[in-house]
Amino acid sequence: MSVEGRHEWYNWVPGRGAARKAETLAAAGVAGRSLWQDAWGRLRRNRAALASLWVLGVITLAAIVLPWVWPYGYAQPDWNLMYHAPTWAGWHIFGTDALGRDLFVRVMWGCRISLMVGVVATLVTLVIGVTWGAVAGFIGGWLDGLMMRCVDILYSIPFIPFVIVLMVLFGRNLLLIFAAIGAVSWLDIARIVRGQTLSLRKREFIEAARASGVGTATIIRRHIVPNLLGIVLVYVTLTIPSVILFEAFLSFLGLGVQAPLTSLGGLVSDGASVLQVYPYMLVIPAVFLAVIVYCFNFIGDGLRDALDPKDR
Amino acid sequence: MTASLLEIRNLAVRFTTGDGPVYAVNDLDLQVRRGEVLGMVGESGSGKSQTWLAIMGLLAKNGRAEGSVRLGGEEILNLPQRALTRLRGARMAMIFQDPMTAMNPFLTVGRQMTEVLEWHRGMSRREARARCIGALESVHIADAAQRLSMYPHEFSGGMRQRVMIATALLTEPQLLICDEPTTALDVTVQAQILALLDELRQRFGTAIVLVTHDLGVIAQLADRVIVMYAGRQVEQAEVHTLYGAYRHPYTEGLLRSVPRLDQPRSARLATIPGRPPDLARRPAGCPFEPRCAYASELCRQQMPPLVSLGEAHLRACHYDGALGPQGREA
Amino acid sequence: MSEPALLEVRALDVHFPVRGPGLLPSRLTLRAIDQVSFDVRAGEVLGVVGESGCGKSTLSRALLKLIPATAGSVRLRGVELTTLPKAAMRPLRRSMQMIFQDPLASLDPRMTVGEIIAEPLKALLPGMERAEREQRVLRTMQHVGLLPAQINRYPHEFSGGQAQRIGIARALVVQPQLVVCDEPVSALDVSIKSQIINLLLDLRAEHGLTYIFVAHDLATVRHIADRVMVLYLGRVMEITDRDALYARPLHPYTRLLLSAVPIPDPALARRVGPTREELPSPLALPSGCAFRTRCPLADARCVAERPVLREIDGRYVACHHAEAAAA
Ligand SMILES: Nc1ncnc2c1ncn2[C@@H]1O[C@H](COP(=O)(O)OP(=O)(O)OP(=O)(O)O)[C@@H](O)[C@H]1O
Ligand code: SF4
Ligand code: SF4
Ligand SMILES: [Mg+2]
Repeated sequence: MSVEGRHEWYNWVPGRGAARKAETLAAAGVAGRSLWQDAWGRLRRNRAALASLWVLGVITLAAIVLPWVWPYGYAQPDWNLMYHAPTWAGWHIFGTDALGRDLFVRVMWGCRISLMVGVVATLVTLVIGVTWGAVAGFIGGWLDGLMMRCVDILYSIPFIPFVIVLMVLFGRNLLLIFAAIGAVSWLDIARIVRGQTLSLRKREFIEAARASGVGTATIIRRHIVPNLLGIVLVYVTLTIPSVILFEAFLSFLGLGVQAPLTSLGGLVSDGASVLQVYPYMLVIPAVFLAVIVYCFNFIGDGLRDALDPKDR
Repeated sequence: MTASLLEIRNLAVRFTTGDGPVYAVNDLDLQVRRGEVLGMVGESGSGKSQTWLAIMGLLAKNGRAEGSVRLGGEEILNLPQRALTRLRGARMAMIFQDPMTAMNPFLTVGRQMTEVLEWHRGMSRREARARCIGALESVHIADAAQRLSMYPHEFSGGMRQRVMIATALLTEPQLLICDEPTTALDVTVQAQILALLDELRQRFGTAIVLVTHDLGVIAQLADRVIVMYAGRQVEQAEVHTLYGAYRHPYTEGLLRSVPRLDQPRSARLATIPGRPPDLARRPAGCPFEPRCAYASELCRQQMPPLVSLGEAHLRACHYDGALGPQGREA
Repeated sequence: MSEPALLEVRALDVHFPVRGPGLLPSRLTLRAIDQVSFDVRAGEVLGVVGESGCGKSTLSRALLKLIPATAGSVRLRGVELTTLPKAAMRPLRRSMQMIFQDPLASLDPRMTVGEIIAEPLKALLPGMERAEREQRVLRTMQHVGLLPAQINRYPHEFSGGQAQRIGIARALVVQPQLVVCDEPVSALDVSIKSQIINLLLDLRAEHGLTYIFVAHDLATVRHIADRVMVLYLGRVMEITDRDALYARPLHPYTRLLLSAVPIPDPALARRVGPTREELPSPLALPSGCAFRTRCPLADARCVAERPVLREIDGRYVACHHAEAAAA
């Protein structure tokens, strides 16, 4: 075979390969894939992330379904069974608390609330923060100045007193907690995203997209945001747990969800006060909290790797 | 003692990666003589840089070097870090393609230069400063004293490369390794830097290793040339022999693909078809075989050894016929 | 000149405001492109050369409206681009595309080759069916020497030369008339460089393309350009047909650039004496001729008076002493 022959595709000269064109196109049978399809394939091959997804799925499902079918309600006291250690008798498998309420159903409710707080607040944070930061960073100029000054002003509001004032004014309310947490934590992410966008904006491939006639909104969606994913996902894996823990802190201050409803944070803080006498009161919700936080971490890591095509 | 300053025997550099080992340099034998300019040429990924990084002890963490490298008779390959640091700077120095990455952007140029002398020569700051001014002047930087208090980003690319050369020469090394010193620069600045290297070699008798993928650059300066392909030496010759009577198909390909101004313009540029091989694989035969117009069945099966053609001319190729257009038609 | 040019550039200025040094920075103006005029005829290759910092990339980007022009006019087939609103510009982008210098940096690392090449199609021909678009992408990939099977690979899996083929495919997929190539081969190895140049020449022959080909060395440009424009500090020094330019460069700067190209022959290798002259700061251009600080022919007139681009034997040169130089 001639040298030319062996490298025909590489040294392809228009015209020369015309005969083979149709054949190759058909034979290749190739269809374009996108980053997302590839990422899903890669995520599925990551054991830790996959296991975490399963665990989290099971916890979520349990937290939603089990309270419905469980023989006890979360607010149902039993004055004869206060601080009862875990037992199979009467299905108090996690024991009971100071008011004789079944701890299992309370933990399930706690998971439900904490996951909701964590995920919803983080989503709010993410949507506002990424959009705000990406728009400010990409468009730049006076708009950037204006948008970032807003962020500075919001930053200067002392957060905890602010939440306390809100609570006092409007009463304790789940929605308010989401809103308050979301409204504050998006500031960080907006700043991070803006910084990244500023450096992305100068990259040549953004210019190439503009030369191809791609509009600003599409560039942000198709080029900027996917390239921000790495850092944003790291941030999210840190934010969900920290939001959950923050809610726990609010509960500790007595500002969390309204009793008798509770969250994992609330349960942990209840448990902490009787740690020496009734350790299961702390250990059980703490284990759930830890498992959830770890799962998010693994999923976040897995997603970050899956979305980075360089990581094979 | 021989005239050779640096003796490399059987040098091999290997990287461990997720996809198995990468053989970046294989069975390399060569010498650098005192005061000469040795050119090393090859395409990207042919192992030029890794050879010299290994010798300087600057390989990436996943890299390992084997074989023997003697500087003035003393074994220096894989020395402990401490001894290497003393050796670098004092007896051999290296400059890189992108001078910006080799400088600390937060320190003034003067600080970076005097540090070298304080560290290697135990000079006082004052003394060191005076020496640095002298060094900058020898690389033709005007207002050297003021320049010392400037930061790297305040210099143009060509000036930065001059500063790098001046810094490398502060300790009067016997060997200066230049890895693509002009690739990032304009042709005009490139010509200046090459002229500067030539001048310094004559003034100080420093041996220079010039690593580049551009045969045009090598022709300006080198006394001897080594052609690398896929981590192997494929041809070695004195500079006039190499350009006038090369004996390796790859050398021919490289030479023919340089656009030249001294010859009539051709409608199409000559190219080497294909691209360099994947170094994770080790073919049984000649690594250039898939791209070679002279390849035969033997080339596929057997690695050609590096043999002497006399007069310090070495090459690794099975093909014995003529090169050039006649050879190809035959 | 009967046939109207494909692209007409007249007195183009691109200025950037910059902050001066010091605590109370003054506003300075960097004249990256200063009164540049030239034509590009349909089907020709105009080479643009100059050292780095001479405004080559700024010019390419300004022609495509990636950065705004400060003054002057750019007309594509008679349509004025500088004042065109964004929406009206989009359809024109189909006839004008760009290839970038750094092959890898100009490709989004998180997009597959297929997506990268399809992007201009999606933006400029939004009505196109998905299947047709995919065919078009595959066909273009083949034209530039990429394998169809590589469509789902990511840019980092390619070598520099291969990545540049992706960039070329992206520019050609909408079948433009004019392609602005901003140093498309400067980052590539010699042997790969000639492969890409040959590819560009073949594509031009097949599709009747017009190129503006930017490079910093005259040896490369000689192989691809029909005419050559030499830029220095944002100003045009010389515009001449290729053969005339290489046979007899009129401008002292062109001669400097030519003499700096290394010749791969040790017998002919000329060692240029060390010169200290650096490019003057673009913020403080010399009076008169911009090149006078490095020019061997400079005299009082060059200090006092800025040379205009004038015609000498059918070539355009901006130098007071071009005739003397020619002699
Ligand atoms: N840390 C590393 N891990 C794995 N492989 C590596 C590493 N560093 C270098 N290599 C490989 O070693 C081979 C030789 O690289 P080297 O940098 O010496 O090439 P070169 O000839 O200098 O090319 P260039 O002209 O691009 O500088 C290449 O295939 C490269 O990919
Ligand atoms: S050994 Fe064979 S394949 Fe290798 S360079 Fe020589 S002729 Fe070509
Ligand atoms: S005008 Fe004067 S300074 Fe400018 S290039 Fe001509 S001779 Fe040189
Ligand atoms: Mg290298």
